[in-house]
Amino acid sequence: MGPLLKNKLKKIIYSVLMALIGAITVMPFVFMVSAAFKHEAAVFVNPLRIIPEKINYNSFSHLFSHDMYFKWYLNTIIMVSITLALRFFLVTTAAYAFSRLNFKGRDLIFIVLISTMMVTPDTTVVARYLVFDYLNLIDSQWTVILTSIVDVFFIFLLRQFFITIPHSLSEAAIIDGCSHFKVYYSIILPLSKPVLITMILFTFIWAWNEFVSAYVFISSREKQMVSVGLQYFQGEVGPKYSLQMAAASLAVIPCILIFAFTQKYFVQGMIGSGIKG
Amino acid sequence: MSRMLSDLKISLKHQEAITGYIFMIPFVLVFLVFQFIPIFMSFILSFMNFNSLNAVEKLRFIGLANFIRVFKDTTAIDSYLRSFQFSLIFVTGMLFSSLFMAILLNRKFYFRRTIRTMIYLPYVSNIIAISMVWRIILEPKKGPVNTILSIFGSENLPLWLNSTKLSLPTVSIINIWVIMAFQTIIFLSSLQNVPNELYESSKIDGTGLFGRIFYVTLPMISPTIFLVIVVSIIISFKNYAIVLGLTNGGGPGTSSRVIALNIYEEAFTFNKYSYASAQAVLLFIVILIVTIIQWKGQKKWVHY
Repeated sequence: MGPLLKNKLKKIIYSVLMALIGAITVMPFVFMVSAAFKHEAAVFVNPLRIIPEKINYNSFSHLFSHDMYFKWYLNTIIMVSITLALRFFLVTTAAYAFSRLNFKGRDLIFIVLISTMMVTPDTTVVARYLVFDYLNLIDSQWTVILTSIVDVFFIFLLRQFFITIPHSLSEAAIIDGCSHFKVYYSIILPLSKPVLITMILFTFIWAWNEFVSAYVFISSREKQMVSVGLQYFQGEVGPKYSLQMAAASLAVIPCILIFAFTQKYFVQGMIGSGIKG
Repeated sequence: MSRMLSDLKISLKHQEAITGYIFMIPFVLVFLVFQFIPIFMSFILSFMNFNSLNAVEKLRFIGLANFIRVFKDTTAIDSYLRSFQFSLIFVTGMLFSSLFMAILLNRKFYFRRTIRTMIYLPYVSNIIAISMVWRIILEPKKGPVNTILSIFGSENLPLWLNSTKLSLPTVSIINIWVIMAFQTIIFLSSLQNVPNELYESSKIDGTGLFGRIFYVTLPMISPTIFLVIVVSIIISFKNYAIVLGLTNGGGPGTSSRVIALNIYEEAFTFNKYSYASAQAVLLFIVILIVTIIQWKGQKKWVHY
């Protein structure tokens, strides 16, 4: 056997091994989807059977007739959209100021912002509850949105990126009489697409999966979002496992689809976040 | 002419400063109200007597009383200890499994993108959905895991999440599976920066695969190992959602009641706002001290 062929064979064996590891990692997801399409009584009959004996859509039709599930889904979509829009606006403008404009106190404010990243959300949950209570925001979806839109990590990430854009570009435009808003809007933002996409994707996934804020600050069942809704749902339906898995499958699908097609941007963003320490 | 130009420059500078404030203020205002003030309030609250809804009229400072009470409260102390145990399992397990996975992924193989996506998938999935799946998978009587174990002839099948002994480690290990993509990606990117010549020269020296990992790879990526440990410790204490999702709020009994659960219950079930804040501040201080000790200790083993 020639060395070339031997190398190729090695690579094939290695690929099979890696595929096996990948398959084991996603096993719970396979089980989830498989159980969702099984008959309720068949979920445990042969739990190792991946493709159901008879594909059964009952769980999904039950889910579609549930009084709240799609309300929670819709609430989540609305909340995620508002979070995306507000975070994009707040973070990009502030990152522009911190990276490309000179003003008194700029670096001090930036350092204060960065140093608060050490404090975890659990530390401040009681105080945030009292602030929301004072502003009459308890039991409103704004509690979830307002906590998450001011994310210092993304200011940091975007600032790192904005700094690398040559100053000569914006200076020429300013001398020509362009406003800073114009520079931000038509020079900086278009040049920063990769990092902006990273931010949008992360924001989508994190907001979609947000649990703790919604669980603590929202008490009305009809105002809830998917995560907490699932938690309620699990309690309501009890050991109807196929139904549970149908609900869980629909809840993870948007993020998995987005992730599968945009993995590159996630990886870049995570490596960026590695710097944050 | 030069006078006009310098006037223009001054006015542009002035304009730039004003624009700077305008651009920054929306973020800073929202941040102030919903992040910065709560941080201060948490510390102030922990020194006050806001421990029931009736206390609103006679709020006052009570010094360290809340903190002293924590040390006498066995429920709280036990919860801290459980959190540390959770963290220990999580961080050690995470370090080995993510490093191992990164080393495996750091080679050329077919379907690399697809396989990577599969391995990273748990990280982007909804934590409650994941909890629901694992509860069914680990169902003691008929769940798939115990079914497989019984096929292999195992008799005393583990109760997993229903066992007072196993529930906490089980949650911790599932949490490794959920979050591992993050650490794996960080390791992978630092492995890719290890120059290939180093491997080549050690191959010529006759060093084996494990020798290469121990004497070449690990020292080269020690800054990343340090970073992953620091970040993983901080992440390990953010476990409220996964513990709640997998164990019905710390069960069976109190066997998986970690400190985060304790804090949320003191605050939102019993309205002991100050006492809960004191427990949270204490946790923050512990994490801070652990992080500082690591920064000091890194000189001994991290090579930059």
